[in-house]
Amino acid sequence: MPVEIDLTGKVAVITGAGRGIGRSIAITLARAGAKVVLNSRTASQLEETAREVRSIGGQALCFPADVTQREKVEKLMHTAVTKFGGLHILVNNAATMAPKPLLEQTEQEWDRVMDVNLKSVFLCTQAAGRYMVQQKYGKIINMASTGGEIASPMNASYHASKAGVILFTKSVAVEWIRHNINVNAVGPGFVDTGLVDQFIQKGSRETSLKSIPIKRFAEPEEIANIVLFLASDLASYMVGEHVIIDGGLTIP
Amino acid sequence: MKLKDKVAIVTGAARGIGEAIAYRFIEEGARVTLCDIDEQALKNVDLKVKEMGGECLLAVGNIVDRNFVQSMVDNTIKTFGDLDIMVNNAAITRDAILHKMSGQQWNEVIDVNLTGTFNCLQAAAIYMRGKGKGTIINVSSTSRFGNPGQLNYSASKGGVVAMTRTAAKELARKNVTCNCISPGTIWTDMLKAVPEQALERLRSGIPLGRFGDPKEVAHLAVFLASDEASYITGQTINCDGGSFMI
Repeated sequence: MPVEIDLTGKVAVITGAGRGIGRSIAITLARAGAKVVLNSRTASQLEETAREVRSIGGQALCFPADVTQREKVEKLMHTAVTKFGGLHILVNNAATMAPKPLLEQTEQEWDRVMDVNLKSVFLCTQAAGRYMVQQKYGKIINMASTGGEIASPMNASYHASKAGVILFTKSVAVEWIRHNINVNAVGPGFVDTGLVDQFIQKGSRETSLKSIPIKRFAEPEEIANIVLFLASDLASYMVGEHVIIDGGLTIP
Repeated sequence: MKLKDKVAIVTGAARGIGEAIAYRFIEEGARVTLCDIDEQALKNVDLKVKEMGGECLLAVGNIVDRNFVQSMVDNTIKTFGDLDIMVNNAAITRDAILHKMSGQQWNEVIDVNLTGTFNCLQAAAIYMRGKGKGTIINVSSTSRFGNPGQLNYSASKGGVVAMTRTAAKELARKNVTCNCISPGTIWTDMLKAVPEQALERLRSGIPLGRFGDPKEVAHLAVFLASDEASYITGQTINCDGGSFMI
């Protein structure tokens, strides 16, 4: 019998779910049967994601909040548990960047990148982990980046934060596997989203495409596919992996 | 069904991880050429595939033999009309500590695990780049990080990773992807030969606290073989219960 990933009865929290990769992840998990709790700062974008989820028969709940703030994060996880009856999957996807020559980078920009990309992962993982450890089940997927492994100029804060996400993933993975919580990371390369245009603002899309062996950007859905796999029990033996999906961009 | 209408070759399909991959591919709708040197064991897999209602072709032979490999690829294309997925899983061990390893032990492992993999990789790649689509999955091992008593095996498995990366870079523009699975300690016949005391030591080094099931590797192989993984290439993905997070 073919194996279909069935997340019926599972509740997933996705941060940065208002657009791009996060939206695609939310829709993909919902299509597999999960009830999804959608978070980002912008309520209107979340509503759009929720509409798409409902249009395919899924259940979605919007929780607009800044996940760099502990109380909000705790409330987010609490809402998932009280409104949807559990918390089984957490996708830490919210991220930002402030690409700039290092000498021009302000401390405020640095802190913001670290807060959104790294601290939020800590806060969300800890808050969700309290439920997951208790129920002895959980899947946490952190969105890292090829930028967490390979450097490029004028984006030091982003690279530092994403490298942090990778080692955070591995450390927590070893710590929590005894609670039956799988923690893994996914590292996209160039994906056709708004963020990629920020990243390549200095060059053209054509120049970037030339550097990708597969000669195209990823579709957000292609990233969502591996997240779905890692969110399922099919990946139970995967612990602390950083799965890179970049069309060959950063093959070492 | 994730592999409906796809045609695959799985080497080392008579037992262990290769056998598990074969069954999962069949379950997902693929037609599969099963390759192994052990005819008797392969016939048992064949029987089980038929019981499942699946379609398969047997290729009994040694992947070190380039003529055999080419005829396997040709027969697959002739029988099933295509080749979409090549799984290079066949491998052997000839364990010995470095100062006691014979030249023969070294050569046998390198022949099968590296040269054999190259033969299959090349034959499949030539066809796939011609048609502008395909995916190749090599099977390495966490022994590639270094494993006492397995100098030959770990060297071959490190080589498989390097071949994966190079092939991925060369083939990407032809829309052919190439990835590698690096299983940790999986409960197979290969492992059943290890003494109990050593097994216990191995088990205690796995954060998940248990050996992997061949099926868990097969699930990953299905994902990588499917169109869902179309943007992943050149990657080596560990499936090891957290043993090596490198």
